Amino acid sequence: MTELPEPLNSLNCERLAAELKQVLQATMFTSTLRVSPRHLQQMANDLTNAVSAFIQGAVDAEAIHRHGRHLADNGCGHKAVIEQAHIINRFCWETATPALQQIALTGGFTRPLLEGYMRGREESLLREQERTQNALARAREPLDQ
Amino acid sequence: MSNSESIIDMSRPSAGRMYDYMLGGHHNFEVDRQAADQVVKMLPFLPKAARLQRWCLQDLAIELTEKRGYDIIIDFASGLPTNDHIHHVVPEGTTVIYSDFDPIVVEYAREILADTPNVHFFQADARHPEELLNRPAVKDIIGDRRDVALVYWGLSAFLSDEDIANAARYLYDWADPASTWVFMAQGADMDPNSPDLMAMMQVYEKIGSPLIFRALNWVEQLVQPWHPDENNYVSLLDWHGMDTRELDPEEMQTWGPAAGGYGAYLRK
Repeated sequence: MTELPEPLNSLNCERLAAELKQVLQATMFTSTLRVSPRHLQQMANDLTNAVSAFIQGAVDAEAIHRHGRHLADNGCGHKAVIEQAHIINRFCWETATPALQQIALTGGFTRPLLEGYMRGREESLLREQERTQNALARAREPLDQ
Repeated sequence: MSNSESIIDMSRPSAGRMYDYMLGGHHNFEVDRQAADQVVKMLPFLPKAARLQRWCLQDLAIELTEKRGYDIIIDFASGLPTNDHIHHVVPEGTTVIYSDFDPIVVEYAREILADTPNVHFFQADARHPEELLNRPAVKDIIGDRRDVALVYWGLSAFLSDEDIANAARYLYDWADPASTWVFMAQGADMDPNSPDLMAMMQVYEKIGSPLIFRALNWVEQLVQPWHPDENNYVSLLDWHGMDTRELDPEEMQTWGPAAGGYGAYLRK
């Protein structure tokens, strides 16, 4: 387990959450509808908690992958996710703590996050494609008869 | 060609699918995206206005159920019941009745909702609320209850003055005094002389969905005898705690101070 560095005290977690919220706010018109103004704080807090848990070793890359999928399910647009990944890497780097700088350098957190996000988007598109096809077929049934 | 056929015709743009595209959805086709891109070029703020409008749905659902105690919500011209819609935030046990005119939306909605308890989706025309309210299946669901929340959100620009006035009168007579009608004055107080707005209206006219933008005070007259509660009509910007900095000066000129409309909880 990585020793919890000073930079991840509650004050800095608040700062990270505030920065993530700012990004969500700045990109919310490019995200889908589920990212509405009333959800921003919660989404920022959830991601901050995921960062914190990952650094503490409480969760692994697989859990972060799932969080990325969750972001896709929640309608985060790609701009929002890329910007958030950038902020998390910068946050880790600026701590000047070797273990966290290593995470920033290797993308230890952001890589599974982005991969999970892309997977989630792909799944959602395939699901919608199926639904659209079924809906069209059923809507046309009365006309085809 | 019947209305249903024209909606299913995917060689022509549909206003509903263009709206879906502007909201970042995938329930649209190339022909819709081309038409939507055309209007967004004229009015770049339009996708933002569409989002401001749609984001209100969960807010009003929470307000109606948790704060005002309604356990039946009847929503007209609902569009797709995706994760941002009413049923996702209401307390367990709340009955939600959605409706839409577009048969593809209805079928797609049924795919999404599957067996979600207490959530129903019917095909009905919001211009004639009696079509939905008098359906035997709806009567089976709500019985004699008339103390319900009725929702007309994001459709008034597609309705004629007569449609709105008739719906207001019908719902007023149908509903219990304890009911609330949540109404959005869509596009109210936009600049009717804006060349961009007029160009957009021409596009919608061409695809068979003419738009009507009205001054707020005219909408207030049309929905009478319903009247807003103490919160009065709230602009979309105020609704989300935003201000006019979201718009540049030129957009402000076209979209007006409300950035696309006002919402209100109307009472009898």
